Amino acid sequence: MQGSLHKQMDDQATRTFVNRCAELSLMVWAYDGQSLEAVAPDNSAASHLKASPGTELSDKIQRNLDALMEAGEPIDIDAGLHAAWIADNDGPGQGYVVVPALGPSEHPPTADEIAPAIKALTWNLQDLRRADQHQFAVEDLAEQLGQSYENITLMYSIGRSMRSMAAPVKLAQGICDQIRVTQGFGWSAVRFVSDDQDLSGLQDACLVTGNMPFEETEFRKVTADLIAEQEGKHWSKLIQIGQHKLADLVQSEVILEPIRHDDRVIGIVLAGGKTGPDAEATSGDTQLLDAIAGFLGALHENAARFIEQKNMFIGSLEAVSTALDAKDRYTHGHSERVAWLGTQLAEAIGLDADEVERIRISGLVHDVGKIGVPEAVLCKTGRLNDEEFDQIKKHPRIGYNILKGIPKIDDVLDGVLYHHERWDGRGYPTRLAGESIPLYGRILAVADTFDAMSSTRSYRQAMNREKVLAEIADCAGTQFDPALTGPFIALDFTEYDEMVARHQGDSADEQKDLAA
Amino acid sequence: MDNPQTTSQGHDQPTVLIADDEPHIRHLVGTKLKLAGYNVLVASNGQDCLELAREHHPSLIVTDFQMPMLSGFEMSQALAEDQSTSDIPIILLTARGHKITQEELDTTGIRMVMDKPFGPSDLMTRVRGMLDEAA
Repeated sequence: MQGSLHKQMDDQATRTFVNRCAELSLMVWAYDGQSLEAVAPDNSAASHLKASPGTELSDKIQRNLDALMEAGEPIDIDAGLHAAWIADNDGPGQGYVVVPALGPSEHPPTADEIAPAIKALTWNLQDLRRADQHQFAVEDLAEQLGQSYENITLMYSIGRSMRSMAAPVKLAQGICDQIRVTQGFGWSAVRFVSDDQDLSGLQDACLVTGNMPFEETEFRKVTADLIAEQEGKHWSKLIQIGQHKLADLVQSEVILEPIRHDDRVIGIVLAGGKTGPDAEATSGDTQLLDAIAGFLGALHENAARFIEQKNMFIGSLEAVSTALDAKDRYTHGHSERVAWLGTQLAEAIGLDADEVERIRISGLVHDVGKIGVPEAVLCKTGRLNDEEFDQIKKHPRIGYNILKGIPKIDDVLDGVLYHHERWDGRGYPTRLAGESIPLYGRILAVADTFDAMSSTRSYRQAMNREKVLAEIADCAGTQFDPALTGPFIALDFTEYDEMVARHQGDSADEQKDLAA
Repeated sequence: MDNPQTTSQGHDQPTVLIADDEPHIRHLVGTKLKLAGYNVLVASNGQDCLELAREHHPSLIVTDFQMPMLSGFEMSQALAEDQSTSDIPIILLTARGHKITQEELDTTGIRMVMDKPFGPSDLMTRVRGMLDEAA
């Protein structure tokens, strides 16, 4: 009870009350149910007090305390000096006794004279206490609101970031990082255990953010084990130290949520290492993790579908280009080799992985227009006459027309249409010159010519490597972009040679099959 | 939806019944209670909670306010009307904004209202306190 007396005297509401009493020339004693103690106002209000409480007065109040509390109105405690009890809602039997402070020869006011002030002060104390409670509730609510706001903002930002599926690994890491920061975890992680192949880095991924107080390889293994163990059972989503090797490894409580697709568990999102005075996972944390698991599942599935579609698309293109090359044994594997050469040159001049991939596709389909060239012309042995040459020269435009209906392959189309243009403007079909020839066209021009010179054709034998490279160097600035010839000549052609050998082998096998 | 389920660990341990329609809350609280050595009953709606309470007479109920079929408060009122269950102490969990007056609470066995989100150890302290009192 001693504590509550201090509280009575210390909080702002009480101070205000005591000061107001002083300004009305009333002295105040606080009673907490056990002890009675005089309460002095702040210095500024004290100047209004005409006298200070004396110990005699305290005794008189003490003696009359029960009567004061019962009376409900001011009562005479000493020769006309009235005192009044003002109850404090904060606790039963708690309250204040107020007594008018008198100057040296003043007569004490009558009960009727002080009664209105006492009434007003009683209401005032109630109001002050209520305001205190409201204040407390408002502050608490504000904190709650702040937390909710953070949660909503987090959800919005995750929603926005879902727009771009281009870098799913970064996206997943970003999401984990955000929940780590807003919820105050030391670390967070997402562990996928899908058995799909290439998923842009998500397959079998172990993405950790924050402070890793553990070894990554160990963490990888333990998380995979945990997922395998819980398969089919009721998931344990809150793990304490001593319960499982995961918590022991990271030396903290861990919360986790399985990421599902349909009925399969494809991974888990987890967090731990909370620090600070309140270092335990709250129901807000588990709720958030629940929602995030949903996002990550969608992300994973999106990436999987996207990759699946992309693979189907490229697979189709590869099938078409292989079919084309197969028409003529001299061109068998040509598109594949041009695609490879194109990617090597693209990497050498510093293009990013996405662009390199696009060039590969472009290389695969650059000759698809040959479908529109009569076979007799395509496979003619010996030189072509002018008319026949004109027909061949149509293949870039034909290829372009075939492919232009496919959405979002403008850059790929450039390689198809412009791979026979020359730097000096004397190429075909558009006679563009210099840098106005799109880059993909310029790259494939070098790759295409290199492969043509390096292979045996119906009209001549293959040239040796040295001669081919010298020829390319010679044509820098005339046939080819001079900025590309240098890097191209410096490439390592080992893999290329292996491809050639393999394609020749394939060719020979096919000949055997046909002859059989 | 979880079915009402029982996990027995020992007959001398007090039984605590947790009711909430959010699975992650059931899991969080259920796990903490189990670790603390209590027998745990789990319900996902007010109706199941009521039935479990009548059947097993737990030493304490921790219930969500907003639940399908029967709210935690209505469930508490139903328990209070029955002599055999009116003595079971109840902790009510509620998301902000649900106003129940003290008078209304007094008609039930609800001894304490806790806000969501909460720290599990906070809840556990109060559970322990209430069970100690009742013992």
